[in-house]
Amino acid sequence: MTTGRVFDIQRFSVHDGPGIRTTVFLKGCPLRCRWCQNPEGLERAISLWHFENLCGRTGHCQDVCPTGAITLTPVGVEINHAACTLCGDCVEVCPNNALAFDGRDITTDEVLAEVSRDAIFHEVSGGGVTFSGGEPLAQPAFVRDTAAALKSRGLPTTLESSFHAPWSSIEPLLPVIDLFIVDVKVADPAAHRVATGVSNELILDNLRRLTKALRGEGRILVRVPLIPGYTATPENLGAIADLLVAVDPSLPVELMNFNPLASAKYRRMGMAYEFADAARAYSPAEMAGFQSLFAERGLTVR
Amino acid sequence: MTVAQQPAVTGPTERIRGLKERMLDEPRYLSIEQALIVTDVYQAHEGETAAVKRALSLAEAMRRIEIHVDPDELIVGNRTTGVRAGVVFPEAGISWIDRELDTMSRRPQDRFNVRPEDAATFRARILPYWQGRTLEDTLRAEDGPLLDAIARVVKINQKDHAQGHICPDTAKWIRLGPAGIRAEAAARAVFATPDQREFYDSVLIVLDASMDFMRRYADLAGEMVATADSPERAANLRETARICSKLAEGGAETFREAVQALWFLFALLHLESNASSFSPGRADQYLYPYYLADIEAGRLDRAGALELIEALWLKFNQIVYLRNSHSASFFAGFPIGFNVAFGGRDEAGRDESNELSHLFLEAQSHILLPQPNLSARLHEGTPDALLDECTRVIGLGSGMPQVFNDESIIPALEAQGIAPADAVNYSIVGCVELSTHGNNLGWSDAAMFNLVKALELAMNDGKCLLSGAQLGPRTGYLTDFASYEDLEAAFAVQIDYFFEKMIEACEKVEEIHQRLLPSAFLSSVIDDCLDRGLDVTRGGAHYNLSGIQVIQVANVADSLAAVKKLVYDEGTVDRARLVAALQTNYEHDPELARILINKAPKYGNDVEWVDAIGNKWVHYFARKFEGRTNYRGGRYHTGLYTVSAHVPMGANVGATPDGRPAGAPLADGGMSAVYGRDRRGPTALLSSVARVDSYLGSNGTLLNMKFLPRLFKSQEGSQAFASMLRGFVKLGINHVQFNVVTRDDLIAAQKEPDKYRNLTIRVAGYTAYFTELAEDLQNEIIARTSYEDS
Repeated sequence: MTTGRVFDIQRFSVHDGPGIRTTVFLKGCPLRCRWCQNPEGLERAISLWHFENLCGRTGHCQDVCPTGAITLTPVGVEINHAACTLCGDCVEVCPNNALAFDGRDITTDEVLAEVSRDAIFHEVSGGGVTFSGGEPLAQPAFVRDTAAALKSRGLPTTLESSFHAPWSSIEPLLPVIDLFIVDVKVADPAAHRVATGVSNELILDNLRRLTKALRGEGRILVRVPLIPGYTATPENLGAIADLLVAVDPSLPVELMNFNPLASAKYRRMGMAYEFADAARAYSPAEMAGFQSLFAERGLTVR
Repeated sequence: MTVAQQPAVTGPTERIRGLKERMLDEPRYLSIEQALIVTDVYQAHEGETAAVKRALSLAEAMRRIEIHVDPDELIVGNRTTGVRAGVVFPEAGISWIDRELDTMSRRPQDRFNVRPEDAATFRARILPYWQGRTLEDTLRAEDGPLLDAIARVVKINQKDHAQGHICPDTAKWIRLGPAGIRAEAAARAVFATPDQREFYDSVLIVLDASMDFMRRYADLAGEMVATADSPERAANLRETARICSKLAEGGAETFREAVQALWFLFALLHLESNASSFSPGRADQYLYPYYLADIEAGRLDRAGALELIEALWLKFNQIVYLRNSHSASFFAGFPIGFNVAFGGRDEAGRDESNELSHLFLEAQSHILLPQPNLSARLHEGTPDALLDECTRVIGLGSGMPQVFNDESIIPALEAQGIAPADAVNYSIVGCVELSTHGNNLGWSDAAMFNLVKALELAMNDGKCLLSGAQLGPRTGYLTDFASYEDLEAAFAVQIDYFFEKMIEACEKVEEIHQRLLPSAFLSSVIDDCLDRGLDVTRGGAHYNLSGIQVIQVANVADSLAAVKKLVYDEGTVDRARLVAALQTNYEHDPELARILINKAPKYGNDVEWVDAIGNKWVHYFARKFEGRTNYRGGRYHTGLYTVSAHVPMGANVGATPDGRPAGAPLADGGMSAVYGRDRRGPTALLSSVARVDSYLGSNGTLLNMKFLPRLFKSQEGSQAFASMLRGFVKLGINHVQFNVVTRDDLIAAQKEPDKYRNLTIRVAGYTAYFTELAEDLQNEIIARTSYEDS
């Protein structure tokens, strides 16, 4: 049995593939996109988090901690992560659920059990399961085994990924993933490194290989996130469009409007976020402008 | 799945728009006009029986109340000249009106203006005659102590108004008209036994008068032709006069005639019994032949039919029902319940929706008023096009159509002894109550049984936590119960005790209705009353159900689950600590409330054993009715809805082990989870709800769900919603209705987060609970919502 590490499994997911889906968010990612919407998915390691807005300042956590990793301060709770053994006693004892782990380990069978709870909704909607993250390809064996088990039960599977992974992690998924959603963010390799911490050469190489392997099957969707100052410029989007035309002009493209709401999550987790105040979602007119950059090159875009 | 069809975005016609504006501009007044007529007739016929006095007074009202026609109206008729008047109905109750007369214009819910001269006349001429003679006063005099003794656990209804929640045989009325039904009654009267004579006489009296009522409209419209200020209005008035005159003598033939006939029936039913909810039922089925005939003959086009439907929809908003202030808090916002059902299937599973089903939805999307209460009957074979149109209209946010499930309701009704042909033809009456068509006095709202209060008594030796009064039998305190099973045993004893008293009280109420409020006109449109020569209040209907509501699954499941897990299974909460906290409303131990809320699973999250607790106690209650019959000889059955009664019923319950403080509302709806406790999304909630056996809700169930309008803005969102409805059908849940929340809701959610805790929003790569987001983010979403939703 394969075990994976997730930070959430979400039911009634409607924007991550066809129909009503159960989305499995895998924990850990090799990229560091500045706009990351799920910062709790970045680190593979599980951490203890304290949520100030829920805290009732009972001090039970401090009392129960076997290693003295928790200190109640006048303004909150300090966690010494080096001393924390993740035993969970504080999580258990907090009456307000103000302490929580940002991930958990789960077996393939447990995922199947969770997914089967919405079997009726998957069936009537043509939905299924989406692996997202974090970066699902960072846990290739778990994704492969779980997807294979889902396929054998007739459930449609989707993978949503940066594709920053060795081809050897992707190739075994070809028979068990129905739809590959590939994030393409920045066309220029150097700019990609600035925006995400890694170059895009591996990603584009994987996209070419995937396109070749699945040509004509309609199992690939390219997604481009619109990020002010990073991806949402006419130059970058035009360059991405050119690049996609060169790979395969039949690739469908979906532009993901900027979503400013992740800032709250960063605040809550005490992390800095450079989009905190800046941006808003693009207007329908702006979206249409961006889309035209793809459409005028003959790509199918929405 | 097909893409949602986009109907022509046209909006209502100028005529409909004008009628709607004028209606909404008109203030609501108390009306004593009919009460004066009724009082006169009763005084003049003092020696007669109630049946005769009722028939004569109704006939007099049909002939004498002032009538009004707007030259733009396509459908005419009302029981007052003003719209949305609060009609005083003295036979049922007068004392409460006297008590509330001076506060009616400023009470918290459902206000009516009272003209000073009307208040004076009421007290001088109406009140003195009726005191001591009404349903309300008679019941109070004869059974007051019984009702009071159980009031905190059982709310007995129908104590001060005539019986409503009825779906008459509208199809027959349209086909035959009052004249045709009169002929049938007259023929049967020839063979009447002495016992039946009075009934048939009463029916003939009221049907004769109903023909006169229609003729008066024909005359008035005819007179107005001469002064009409445009040829169009003159033509419309001539047509109105022709139709009213025709309907007085026979059945309808055209679509407009059929719609007018329908409305006359409902205006007259309200004139006879100022009751909550007479429901047209499956109007798309019985109006369709008239529509089709007109279309085929070229007399009518789709737009013309739509305008007639919208004219009817406006009429449904012109009659409201005057409740006492207590009742208004239970049933807030004038829910009179002109419930119109559409869609549905036949016995073979074939879909029965038609063009009118679509027109009803289109009319709803244009009118967006509280009435009719539009109800979609879904089933396995509901066409995608109809489902998608339902989705579109629900997304507009009027809360309609609400959605019913043929696949679970039809078997639930059959399990109550309803014949398959009647079960498959079910309609909805009032809000969510289920009924057969045209042959049932369903007495849907006989009583509400507060299981949560009974559980409170079970943990506190039968004593009320709020008043300290000994309400139930002394079954010990929670501290006395060594096991969870001991607690369950005490709970059962408390339920049993109040159950017997409830039955006794229900029978008393029905007996007095029978004595004081025979209803000949209603009986003429309910099968088998004419056959049997028996008034509907005496059991003349083919089906004679009584519905008892079980209140409230979520609080019972959450409370017992918390006690079972934390007190008995894990032992982390001490029994004495819990009892002390309940007795002091958690004031000295607020942490315990947090523990109970956060450390025990809750109904609505797809946790099997918690949901099973809710189901177990509904079962326990429902099975107690086996082998019993009501006063009319029919069955009792159970419903799971509260409408807005979760607030006043919660006000009457002390602190509960689900962490709820004393007096706080119970879970809303009936099947819903406690506010904010369902945390795993809509499919998890539906899975929990499905674990309460749907046949236990044969009297009706109510599930509320909230969505943001955003979901409906995208094609995949709309399709996911439509798919969710298909899942709802497959799960076998009887009912669901949707609040599609708007910017205003979000602002309210900010102010009262506890009430909106299960409101979810797509934040980033995930969905979050709106109220858990920081205020600045909430403001962001609100700002954005107004942008996206404007």
